[in-house]
Amino acid sequence: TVEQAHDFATKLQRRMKHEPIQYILGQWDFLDYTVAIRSPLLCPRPETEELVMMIVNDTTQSPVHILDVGCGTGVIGISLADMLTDATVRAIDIEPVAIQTSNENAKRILGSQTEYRYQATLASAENFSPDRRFDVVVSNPPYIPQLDMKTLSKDVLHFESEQALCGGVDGMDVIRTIIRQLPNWCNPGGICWMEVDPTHPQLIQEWLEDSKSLDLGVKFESSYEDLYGKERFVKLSVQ
Amino acid sequence: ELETETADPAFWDAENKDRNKHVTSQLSKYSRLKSRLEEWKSWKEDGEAALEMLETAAEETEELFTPDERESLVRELEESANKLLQEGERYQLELLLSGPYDEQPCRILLTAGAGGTEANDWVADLKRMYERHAQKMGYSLQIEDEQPGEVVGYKSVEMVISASTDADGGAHPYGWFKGEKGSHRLVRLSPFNANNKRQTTFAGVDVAPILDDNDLNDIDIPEKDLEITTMRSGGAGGQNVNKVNSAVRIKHLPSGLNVKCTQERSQAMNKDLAMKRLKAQLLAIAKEQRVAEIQEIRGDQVEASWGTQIRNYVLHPYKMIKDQRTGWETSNVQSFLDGDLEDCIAELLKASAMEEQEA
Repeated sequence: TVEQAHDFATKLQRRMKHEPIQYILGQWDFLDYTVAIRSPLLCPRPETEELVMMIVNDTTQSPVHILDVGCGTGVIGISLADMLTDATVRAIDIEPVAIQTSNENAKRILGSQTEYRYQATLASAENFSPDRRFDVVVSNPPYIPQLDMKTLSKDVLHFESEQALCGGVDGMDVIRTIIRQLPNWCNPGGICWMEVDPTHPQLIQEWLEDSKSLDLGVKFESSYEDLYGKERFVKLSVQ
Repeated sequence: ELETETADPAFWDAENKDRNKHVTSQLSKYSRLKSRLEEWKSWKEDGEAALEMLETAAEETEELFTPDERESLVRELEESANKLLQEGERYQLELLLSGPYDEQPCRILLTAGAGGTEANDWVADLKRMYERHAQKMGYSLQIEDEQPGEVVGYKSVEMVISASTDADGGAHPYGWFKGEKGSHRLVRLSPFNANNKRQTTFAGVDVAPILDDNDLNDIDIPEKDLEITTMRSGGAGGQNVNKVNSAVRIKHLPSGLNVKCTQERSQAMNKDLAMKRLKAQLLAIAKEQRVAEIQEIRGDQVEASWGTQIRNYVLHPYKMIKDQRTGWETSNVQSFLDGDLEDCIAELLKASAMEEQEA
């Protein structure tokens, strides 16, 4: 039809300017779900799908209370809420569009259960003082080191939020904040999973195993590779 | 009893999904059988009624029927008898389809062999042949993926054949089509050849059953046996890149089997589907070649099933289609290419059944 042709042409124009296809279509698939994705939120990457599957296969606790830090479109927390039995999820982000989108996606996927199982609120990792403690903290925080930012392709650099991508000089700023907060957020024995830059697992392990860091109360458990053979994920535990 | 089970509302709960699927497929199988039997019964009764009327008429001294009426009765009798005979033969054939996965839907992959445009055109011909044959036999066929050739035809076509919802449609997609697996050789005057020379081209047909998750869950393939590649291997990855190519290719190193999946927008889903297809293929090979463990499947067994030339289609200088395995042949090539494969496949089924018996 004429409308469809016109719509297609407009979208094609946008795509030729390197706008991410997920923004143009307004949605994309993450695992088995179709989720709303909008600017300036980070479009979920395939590595994050792996992170979720890893957590699902590793988590046996039920009920389980989860915190998703920097939730963006909400995919991590929502998938976990759906796939784990008796899971409740709190999600935080500093971007208002993220909160709106996460709650919207939660309703789409969890339906009537959303009320009891998922809640996204505006908060920063530094200032978040929850009224409860969590068993699992998960995050795909901004982790790109400053210098790498200029190597990014146009569709990432010009459209997705820099806040969602850059983690400071070594990429670890937000990661460090999260790790410092873990004893305040978690039950003893709580687990933290994060997706990180491949330079990070070693840095994190060295930091946590250094004698000066013992009072942090966080232990480095393990790192895991993604499908491309990059060290992409870390698992930490809270004493 | 199966019907009572489905009447229970709890039966439809999510947890019961596997049992649910199993029971509903059994149920549809039996109800299909039941309606077929009822159909045969009604034909038999029609035939008997016609026969009775003719017999009674013969005994009477008076003419009960006009010649026309008598003729139509005879015709009715003949029709019923023929239908029953045909159905009987078809049913006998189906009894031969009792392999472990014969009732499952199947995935057929057509791949053009060497030969460029001519080979791509051959794939298009085969695609058409199978589409028509599936329709004739009452199967439902869905095209899943097509890679068009540069000039004409296709580099590859992927289709799924399943039993249709019709009661009298075919009910053994994999069992019926599995014999098509192998290399199909075409000889003809090529319209794409500058001198219109006679050319030989090949197309590969691969048939694999589509198995329930249940059957697959028990199979574990060790990570070290697999080589998983995606469209964007290499480079920084992670947050640094936003490429939505989610195609996944899995190669099973011990056997050399390759599976590719591109149909989903999520990479994890494509990986999942590719793994399922790989497992299904391995299972099929294991069962057919009587290999005890999946782990033992090696490249030579795969070669044996895929690379073998199974059928010759000669269109020039003479017209003949010959199936290498049974020796079955026909010179009615056009009708075969139009989808008339029933006799050829039936012959194959009978031959392999006899082989089984002798084994």
